[in-house]
Amino acid sequence: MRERERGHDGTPAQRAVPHARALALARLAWVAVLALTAAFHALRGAPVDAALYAAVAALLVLDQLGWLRVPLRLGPDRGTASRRVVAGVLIVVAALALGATPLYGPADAAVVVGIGVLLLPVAWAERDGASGERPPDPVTRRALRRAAVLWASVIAAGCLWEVAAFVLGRTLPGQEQDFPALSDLVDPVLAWPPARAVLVALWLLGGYALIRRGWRR
Amino acid sequence: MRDVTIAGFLVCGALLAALVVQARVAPRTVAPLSTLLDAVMQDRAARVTVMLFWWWLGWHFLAVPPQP
Repeated sequence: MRERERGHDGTPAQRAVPHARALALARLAWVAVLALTAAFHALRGAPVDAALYAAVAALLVLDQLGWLRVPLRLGPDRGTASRRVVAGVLIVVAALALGATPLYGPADAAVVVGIGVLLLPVAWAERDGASGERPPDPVTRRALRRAAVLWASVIAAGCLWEVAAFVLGRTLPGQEQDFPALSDLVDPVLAWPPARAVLVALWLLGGYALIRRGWRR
Repeated sequence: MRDVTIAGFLVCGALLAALVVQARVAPRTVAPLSTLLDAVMQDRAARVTVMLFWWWLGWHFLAVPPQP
């Protein structure tokens, strides 16, 4: 009778087992995405990109197996106005600087590599306040699941389109103009310094918005 | 064929924009991207993967010259 009163969900301990399994499967899916991307970069002749994706995939596998213990922890997100102003100023300065310096030059490489080095521990760290609140209600959960499926579907379709354009443009003789990859379309825009400054600002703004996600609010 | 290829990218962009609009109009049908990211990026594997893809855009477009 008590089992029936609890409903189909069971005790917290019983609920924890399928939750842990779902979490492990989700992590495996992220690793698979990284591994597929690494394979694509290897095939397109970009060994550094392939190595980066493969290395991060390996780190996540080691972490999931419990063989990697990095005691990094971030406090609660404090998106204060002063921090946003500082971030905004840094983004504008970086965008103007990268717009003014030569494309693919040492300044570009230094800024991008520097951001990557700073980003890894921030992305890796456990986040205080990232769990412990009650789960969302069923309607919100359904809306979240629907959003996840739709966003993932459109992004996957875009990636497949990009891969198809890249492969057809590179394998069919003289067809590069007919099947431009996204890079072929964006590179000429980046060559113009004002457009480059705007795109760098958008890229940095996107990164700032992303890094502030993942805390329950 | 070039126009068709470009149109494919534009359609993907338009669909993403439509998802943003739909989430604004009916957030209880399709959750906003910010809510989705807040939920997904609580887990390290998702967070690291999403951030790597974002970082790679800068690496690819700014730091590495196009292949000949």
